[in-house]
Amino acid sequence: MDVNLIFKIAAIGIIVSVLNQVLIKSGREEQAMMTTLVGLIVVLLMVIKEVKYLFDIVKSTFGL
Amino acid sequence: MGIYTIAGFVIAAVFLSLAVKSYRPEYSVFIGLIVTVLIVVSVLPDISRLFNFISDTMARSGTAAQWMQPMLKGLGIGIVTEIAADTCRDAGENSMASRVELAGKVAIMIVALPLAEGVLSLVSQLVNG
Repeated sequence: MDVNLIFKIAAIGIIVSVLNQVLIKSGREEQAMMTTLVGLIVVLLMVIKEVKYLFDIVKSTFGL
Repeated sequence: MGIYTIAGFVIAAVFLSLAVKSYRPEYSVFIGLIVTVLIVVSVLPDISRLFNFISDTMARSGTAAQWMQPMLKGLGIGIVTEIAADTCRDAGENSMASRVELAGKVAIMIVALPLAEGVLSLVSQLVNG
């Protein structure tokens, strides 16, 4: 829940992209697709946690 | 977070998002969503301070506090709907954005229903009385 989260997500994105390229170039395309999906799911879990925190705060502030 | 922190942080996030957009465009959408979450969470206490001031003023002027509730809830629904719709548009899904906006409009109308009933009962009192 701080500013470093953005840098973490960008770093994961760049790592996934690099790994993807390396795996595709060395011929292992299924593993490339799997690393892409795993990266996506990891970041999605991180982001959903923050979104849930936001919605809880909005609910309590506006009395919804 | 003061306004300077927020502005600087958003500008940095824009460049980070541009850096990953050409390789993995979904991570740009993630970055946009996280920026939204962080900024709204830091701005919400100030919004609630403003609302406390408005409701205190209304209480002092004699208006019932129950009429303030639908306005407040409508604002919250508007914020959440806007976040979801803008995330959809960032990802290029314009139709999903319009659907969630439709759901938000219906939700706000439902929340405003007590206000409409109050107005109608007041009008019927004036007409009959």
